[in-house]
Amino acid sequence: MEAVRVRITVNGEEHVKTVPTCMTLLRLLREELDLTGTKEGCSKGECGACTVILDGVPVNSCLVLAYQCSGRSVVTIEGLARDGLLHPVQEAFVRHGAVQCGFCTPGMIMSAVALLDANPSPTQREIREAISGNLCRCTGYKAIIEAIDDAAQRMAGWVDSQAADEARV
Amino acid sequence: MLAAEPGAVLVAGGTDLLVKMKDGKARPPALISIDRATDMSAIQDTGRTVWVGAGCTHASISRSRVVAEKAPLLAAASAAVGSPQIRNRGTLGGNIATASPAGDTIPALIAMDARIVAEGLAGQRAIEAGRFFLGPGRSALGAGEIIVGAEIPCDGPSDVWAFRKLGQRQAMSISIASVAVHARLEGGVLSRVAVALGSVAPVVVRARRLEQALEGERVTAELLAQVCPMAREAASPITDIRGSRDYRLAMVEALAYQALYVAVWPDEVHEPRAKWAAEAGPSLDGVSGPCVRHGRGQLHRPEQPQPKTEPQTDAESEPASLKATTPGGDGDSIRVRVVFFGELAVRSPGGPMTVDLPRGSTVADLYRRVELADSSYVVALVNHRREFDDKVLSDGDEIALMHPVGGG
Repeated sequence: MEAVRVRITVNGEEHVKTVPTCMTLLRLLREELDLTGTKEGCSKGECGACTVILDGVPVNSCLVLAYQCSGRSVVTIEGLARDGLLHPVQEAFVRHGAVQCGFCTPGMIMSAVALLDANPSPTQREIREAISGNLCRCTGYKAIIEAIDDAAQRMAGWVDSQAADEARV
Repeated sequence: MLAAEPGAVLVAGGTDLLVKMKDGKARPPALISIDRATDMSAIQDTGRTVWVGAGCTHASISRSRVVAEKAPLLAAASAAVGSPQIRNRGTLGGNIATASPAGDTIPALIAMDARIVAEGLAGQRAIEAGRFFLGPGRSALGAGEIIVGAEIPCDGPSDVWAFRKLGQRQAMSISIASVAVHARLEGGVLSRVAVALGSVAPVVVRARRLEQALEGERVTAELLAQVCPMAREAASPITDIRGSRDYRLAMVEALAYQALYVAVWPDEVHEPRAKWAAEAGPSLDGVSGPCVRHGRGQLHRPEQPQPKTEPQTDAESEPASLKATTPGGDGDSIRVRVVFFGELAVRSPGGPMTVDLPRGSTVADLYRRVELADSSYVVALVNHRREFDDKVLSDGDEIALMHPVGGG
């Protein structure tokens, strides 16, 4: 098995790892970096449980080879909270009970965060479209959609306060 | 590199190849990653044609202004691929190289008369999309050749198009059948008609007899209904886990009718003209899609279109999503018909009713009017199509309200 050196930024932190060429980004995250928040479901890009944000867009980490991410930036569910405070999307999922067994949750949240980064005030249709690659088998879509909608509304204020914080520093 | 590793496989997004490798269906001795070959991901308007590089992702194609304007059929097909995650990685070149009869962009490329450009050590050559695909997974690509992109003739002002895909669900499904239509419509007369059928034969096929039957004809809904059964003749579908042969034959006829209808009368269909419009995100806000510039004013419209593909629950209701204008309401208000099912029909609110609402009202406003705003889990079908709270209602709409039945 050939190995390759990968320099990758995960949640803002740079890592250099030597990994097999056939290793997926998902396995790199879970097994090499111990970031087990990202889940493996179907492992063929159908379920979205392994969704992470790669250079700003959501991807299925089970279908990305780790070496393809060299020099790139990945955000996982572990990278959302700031200073012990949950990301507004995470907070909204808690508030709306948008979690049942929890297995799809990290992927759902990453899809939602990517959506709101690109489109801060999505319509219901756009929310549904954004999570169309994420399966929830506990039949929980309604609460998830409500949570994302709520997060979008609260984030309008959150983004402003972040900017104000940064201006103060 | 390809010359040094003759068995190597090029990988871009890997959304298909990695699945095959995990299943043991593909065991390439080497992979050459081209996902960062930026010179392969250009989209360019070259005047008479649009160049779409093989490395363009489906997300970039479906969001491209150039593609939306000059080759909208490809944008619609790219938007139908997989899920957002898949569209962010999967590429046009990968969809072409995989050469699946269910590849979503393939019927579009064939219907648009695109040319696929391949490059090997001997140089470049362009192959007509209609001759490129030889069988499932087989193409005219020679050993050592790679796909560098597709060259698509630009749409003119009188070109019309539509893409229809039937999957087991809307997202992340492999098509059971798909149809891409591209034609010229001048003074109500169709010419250069191309109808390409996906997932109903070993390769994507053209419905030649159907195309000929429409060529030079003044198009009416009656004519479409009469000729669309010919779509079956081109199909030789198999029975598999996604659908039986008979089902696919019925669906390919229905999809051909829908696609031709939507191509000719895009205005009359109550749905976003293309799924990609919703996906385009903020960058395309204010752009209302390519159908805007299609010369619809000159169309010859049938008096009363008779769609044949939508089941009707009520003989009096307007044809579902393909309906023409309906009388009722005035300038400031709309009149809609509301029907209830299940518990909602048995208890309150009860029987069907006609409701007048201010123009611009949404499904959420209707819930308030019928006093269902506070009850959770009500599903709304507007003209037989599932819609959500923010759907704006139109005069003459029929809204069915019910509780969904769930289970796990």
